[in-house]
Amino acid sequence: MAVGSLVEGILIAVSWPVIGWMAAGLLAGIVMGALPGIGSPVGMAIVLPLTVPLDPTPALILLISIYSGAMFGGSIAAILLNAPGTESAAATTLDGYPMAKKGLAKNALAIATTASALNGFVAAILLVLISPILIEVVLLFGSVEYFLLAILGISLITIVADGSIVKGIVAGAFGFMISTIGVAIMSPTPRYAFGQLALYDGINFVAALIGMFAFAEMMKLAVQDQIAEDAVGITGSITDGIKTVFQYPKTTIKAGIIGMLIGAVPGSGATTSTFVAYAEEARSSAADGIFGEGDPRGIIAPEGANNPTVSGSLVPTLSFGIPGSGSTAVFLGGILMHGLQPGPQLFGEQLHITYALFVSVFLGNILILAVGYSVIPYASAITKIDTDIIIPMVIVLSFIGAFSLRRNWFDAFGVLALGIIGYYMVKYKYSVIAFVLGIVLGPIAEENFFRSLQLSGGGYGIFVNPSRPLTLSISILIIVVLIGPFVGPYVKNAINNFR
Amino acid sequence: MVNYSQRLEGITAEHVLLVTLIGLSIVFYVDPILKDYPQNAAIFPQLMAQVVGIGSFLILIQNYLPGPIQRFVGEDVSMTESFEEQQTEGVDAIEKSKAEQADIDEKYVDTEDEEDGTSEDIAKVPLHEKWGININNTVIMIIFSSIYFALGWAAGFLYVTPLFVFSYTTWFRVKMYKGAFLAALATVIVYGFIVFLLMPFDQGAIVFTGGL
Repeated sequence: MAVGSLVEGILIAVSWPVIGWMAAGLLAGIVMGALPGIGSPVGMAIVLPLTVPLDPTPALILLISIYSGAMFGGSIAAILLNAPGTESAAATTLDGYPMAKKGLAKNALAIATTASALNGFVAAILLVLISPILIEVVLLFGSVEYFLLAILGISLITIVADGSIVKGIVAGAFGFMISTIGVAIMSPTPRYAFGQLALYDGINFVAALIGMFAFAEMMKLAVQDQIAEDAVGITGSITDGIKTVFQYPKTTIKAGIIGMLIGAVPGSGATTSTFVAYAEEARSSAADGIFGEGDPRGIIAPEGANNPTVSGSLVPTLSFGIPGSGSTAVFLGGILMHGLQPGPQLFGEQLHITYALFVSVFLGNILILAVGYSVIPYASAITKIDTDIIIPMVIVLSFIGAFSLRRNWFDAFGVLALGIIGYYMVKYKYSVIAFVLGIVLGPIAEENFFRSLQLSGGGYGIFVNPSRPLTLSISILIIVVLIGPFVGPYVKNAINNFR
Repeated sequence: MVNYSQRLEGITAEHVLLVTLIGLSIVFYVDPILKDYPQNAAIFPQLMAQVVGIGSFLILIQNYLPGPIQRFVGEDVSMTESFEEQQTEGVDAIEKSKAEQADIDEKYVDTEDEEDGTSEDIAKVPLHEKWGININNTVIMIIFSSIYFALGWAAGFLYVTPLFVFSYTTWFRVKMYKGAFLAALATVIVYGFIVFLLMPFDQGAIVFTGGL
C-alpha cells in the first residue's frame, strides 16, 4: 500500500495546479519570511481562510510551502538587516550580518540558500524513508493514548516555551475550555452559547489562529520602528557562497540531523534547533572559528538546521496532531479545517496526501535553490517594506478572512478579542502555542477523553492502567515532563552525594 | 492605613488577565450545573475550568505562597533554555562583543543611509505624537481596528476598508500616494471576496443592508 500511495503522492505533487500552488506558497513564504515581524505563522494564518475553496491536498501543500519558504526568507532579513524575519533565523544574524558588513552579503545569502535547501532536500527524503515505521507506530495508538498525547504535547510546550509551567498549563487548559463553546460533541447540547445562535458552532479555531498569530503580531509590530534602518549593500559572490557550503560537509550534515531530530520533538520548533545547531558548531569549532565575526559555519549551522526542522516537525503533527511550533499549529489548523484528521487516517486511507506533502517539501527545496539564488540581488528591496504599510493590510485580511470562514461575525470579533488576549499572553509569558493547541485539539481531545471514560466505565484509572503499557508510559512521561525540572536538581544532588 | 492608590498602581494587565480567566472558569464550571447539561457534555469543560481557575488563582497569589509551591507556580523553567545555556557560553561572549560593536555599526549605517537618501520615512512621527498625545502605537492600532470592525459590521467592509487603510497610513505618516494605493488595493481584495467567494461585504447590519 505504501509504495502505491507514494507513487500517487508523487503524481499529485507534480500535477497542475498543485505544483503551481507550491511555487506560489514558496514565493509568498520567502517574502513573508524576509519581512521582520511577519514570518511563517502570520503568513500561514492569513492565507489559511483563503484556502477554503481549494481541495485539501493543494491547500496543505500551499501552507507547507509558505512554511518552507519563510524558513529560508527569514535569513534574508537576518543577513541584511541584523533583524531576523522569523524567530528561527535569529541565530543566523550572529554571523550572517557581520559577513554582510564585510561586503560579502551575496556569499552569506548563497550559503544560507544552499545549506537550507540542501539539508531540507535530504530531510524530505529521510521523511519518506521513515514513514513506513511511522505508519506502524501510529496504528498502536487508540483513544486513551490520543487524549494523553494531547496532554503530553501541551506539557512539552509548557517546558519548552518561556514562562512557568503553571502558566503553560493554564494557557493550554484555557484553550481546551474555549474549544467547548458550541454544541457538544457527544450529545446535541449547546454549551455556553447564552442564547446566541452564532455561538452554537463554537469559536472557530482558524479565527483563533488568525487572532493569536496575525493580529497579536501586528500589535507587537506597531511599536517597532521602520525595519529597513540597518540594511547593508548586496555585494560579494554567489558562486563562492555555494562552494563554501561544500567545504564544510561535517557542519552541514550535523546541522541537518540536529534540525530534523529537534523538529520531531513536539513543542520545539526551528528557533530551538537553529540555536542548538549554532551553539554546537561554535563549541566544536571553537579552536579555528571566528564566530560572531562572519564565520561561514555560523550561517551553515542554523540555516542547515531550519528546513530539516520543517520535515521533522511534520512527524508529530501528522502522526499525533501535536505541532512543534506556531507554524505547525497553523498547519494543523489547516489539516483539520479541510476535514482531515492527524493520525491513523493520514497514515491509512489518506496516505497519498501525506506522501504528496512530503514530496512537495522535497520539490520545494529544489525550488528554494532556484528562487533563492535569483532573488539574492534584489533581496534588499523586500526588506525595505514599511511596517505601517503591512499592518493595515494584515488587519483587513484578518477580519475578512475570519468572517469568510463561516460568514459569522463572531469569528471576525474573535480575531480582535483573541488577538488582544494573545498579545498580553505573550507579554506575560503565557504560552500562546499551548493555548492554540488547546483550541485546535480541544474537540479531538474531548472526544478521546469521553471515549476513554466509556471504555473504563467512568473510571480515571484507565489513564494509568498497568495492563496498557503504552498508556502508562505516556502518563509517566507527562508526570516526568511536568515535575522533572523541579525534582531533577534534587535527584542530581542526591546522586552526587551518594557517590 | 491601607494605601489604596498605591495598591491600584500595582495592578498590571496580567492581574486583569488572571481575574478574567478566573471569572471565565467560574462561568464554565457553574453554567453546566445551572442549565443541567448532560454529564457527557459537562465533564470536560468543567475539568478544564477547574485547571484554569486553580492555576490562575495560584499565579495571582504566588507572592504569598510557601517556597516550593511558589517556585513551581512562578519560576520560569525552560528545558531548551537550560540546554542552550550549557551549550551557548561561546554565543554569549559573541553577543557581548557584538553589542559593543553596535554603536559603531549604527553610526556607520545611519551615515550611509543619509548619504543614499533612503531615510525618507525613518523620521516620520505619527499624528498623535505630533499633537503631543503620549499613547502607545499599539493602543492606536487597537482603536483603529476596533472602529474598523464595528463600522465594517454596521455598514459593510467594502465601504469602510478604504477609509480604514487610508486613515491608518495617514495617521502613521506614510506618504499619501502610498496610502491611496494601499486603500485601493485593499478595496480590490475585499471586492474579490464579494465576487469570487460571494461574501456579503457590501452589506451592513445597520446601513447599506441591501448591498450593491
